[in-house]
Amino acid sequence: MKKYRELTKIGAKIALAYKFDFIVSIFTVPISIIVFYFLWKTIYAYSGLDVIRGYTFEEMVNYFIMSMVIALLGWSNIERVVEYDVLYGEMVLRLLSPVTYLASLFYTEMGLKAMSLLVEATPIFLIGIVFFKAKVFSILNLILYAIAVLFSIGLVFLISFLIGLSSFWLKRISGISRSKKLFLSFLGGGFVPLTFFPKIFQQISEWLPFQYIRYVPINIYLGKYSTFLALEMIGRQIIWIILLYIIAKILWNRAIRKFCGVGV
Amino acid sequence: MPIIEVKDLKKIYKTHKRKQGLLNAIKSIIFRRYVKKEALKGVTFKINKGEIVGIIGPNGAGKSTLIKILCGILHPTDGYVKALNYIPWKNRIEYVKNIGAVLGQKEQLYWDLPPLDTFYLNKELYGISKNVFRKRLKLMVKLLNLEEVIGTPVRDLSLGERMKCKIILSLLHKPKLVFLDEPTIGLDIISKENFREFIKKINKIYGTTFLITTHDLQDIERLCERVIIINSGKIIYDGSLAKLKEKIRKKVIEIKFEQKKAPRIKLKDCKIEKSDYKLKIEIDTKKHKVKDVLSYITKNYEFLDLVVKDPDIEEIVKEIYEHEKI
Repeated sequence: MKKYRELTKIGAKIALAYKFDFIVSIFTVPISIIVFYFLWKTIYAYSGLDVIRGYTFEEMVNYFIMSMVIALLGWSNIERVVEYDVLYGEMVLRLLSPVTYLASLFYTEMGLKAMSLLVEATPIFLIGIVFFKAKVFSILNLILYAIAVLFSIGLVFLISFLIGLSSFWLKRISGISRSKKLFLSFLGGGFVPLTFFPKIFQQISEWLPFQYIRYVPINIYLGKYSTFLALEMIGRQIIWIILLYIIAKILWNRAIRKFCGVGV
Repeated sequence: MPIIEVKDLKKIYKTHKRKQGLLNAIKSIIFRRYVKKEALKGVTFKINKGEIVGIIGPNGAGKSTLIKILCGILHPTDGYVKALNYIPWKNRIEYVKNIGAVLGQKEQLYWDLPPLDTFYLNKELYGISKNVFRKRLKLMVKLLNLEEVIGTPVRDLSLGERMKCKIILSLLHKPKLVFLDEPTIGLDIISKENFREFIKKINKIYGTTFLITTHDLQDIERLCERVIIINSGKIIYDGSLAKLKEKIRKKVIEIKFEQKKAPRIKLKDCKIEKSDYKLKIEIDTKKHKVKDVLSYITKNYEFLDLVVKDPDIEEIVKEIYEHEKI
């Protein structure tokens, strides 16, 4: 498994090559936190309620900060990489390499994530604790949250990869890529908890993979589930990952038969 | 034992065609007219271990389709290929561990990192042992004078340096078979020479088999004993360069004169090119004997110098491309 470690290292090295571009989010993300912090503060103050849709003010602030942490870690633009490889014939090079395409993309991406954890996610979490009343509800929940985030990263990666594969048929997918970002945030409960939406919406969400990206991990963090239920949720994440992985494999095999690698 | 065996290889592409214009573009969304394009129409050849073989042909002849099938990237429509005892497209991942490839037009190194990082990545990807890796890297870096280059980010390197690093990358894992696709594109004369010398050395030291596609016929002339010419999906010549020159049965006589305006020489069935102080006569040896032409010229004309040559490889190939026959 040395080769996967080396691929991860390459990802981290690429991230380091652009360290300043990377670090910018430390300054921009707190701005959205400030906006949401004061928005919720006003809503709770004027409604006179202590709990809105199942969340106290403190939980709501924590919800948003942990959502930002997942956004920084789980964010993936792998579909654009696939699109580029397909459109500009770079796929030829990928196919000459003795690792599967999926693996080489995944492990390089993990290298980027490791850097992101170091220079983005952790600082934002600390900023949240120092300035915005973020807190660790329990160590066990923090650990379970960390595991759930890991699988959340896997989910986003696979969904992005699947979208990327569509460029074998659709060619340019920059529009789809942009809407993906919005949809995943919305359906995943990135802006507000899913309990804010109508019941039917929540019921449908139960059958989709998206709530496991942010909503579920954050609720684990907030201690909204019993330990047993939290583990079950993680189990469901794994089932979704296996399912998406199988679909990705099947689609990849079809795509590669179609691929002609023109112009090399 | 041949290292590559290709039998009756065919590849048909399906592409859709449409007329130009916006309306036709909209129409083509619903009514797709597919056009079949035969890129390879039954290609057969064998390549033995340790050979350096050049594959040439005009644009769109099917060269890169052939190479891509041999690399395991493309599935052929029909035919049989066995390379290093693999069917390339069926066991691709296992197969590519044993081959190397330099694609002249593609960036194979990580753009933002020094080449050394990509070398180390390949060390792990191909499972090269530390000793072998060090030894080979040291040797190749020395042969190509790249000591100071391999630690600099690729984006800051020149085209020639990048190309040299790419060839090292493709050879680190000791591949038995290496594909070079336009390896000298964009290189200056000295770099090209170095590059060719390097390939020859590697071929000698390790017995590596090379398949080269190129448009620079000097590459072929310097490197390849054998050349395969492809045109419109078929092999039209497979053999040595020397034999190709013989088959063409042409000689060129170049004459230099003292006066600027060269005299007019009348010869039947010969192509005569005139320029200042010079004349170039192309003789078809099936129709004339060189000896006869020479004695005719020496008898009737005054000149400074006279040389009899084989026609340039460029001219031979141009003729073949145009007439498709040998």
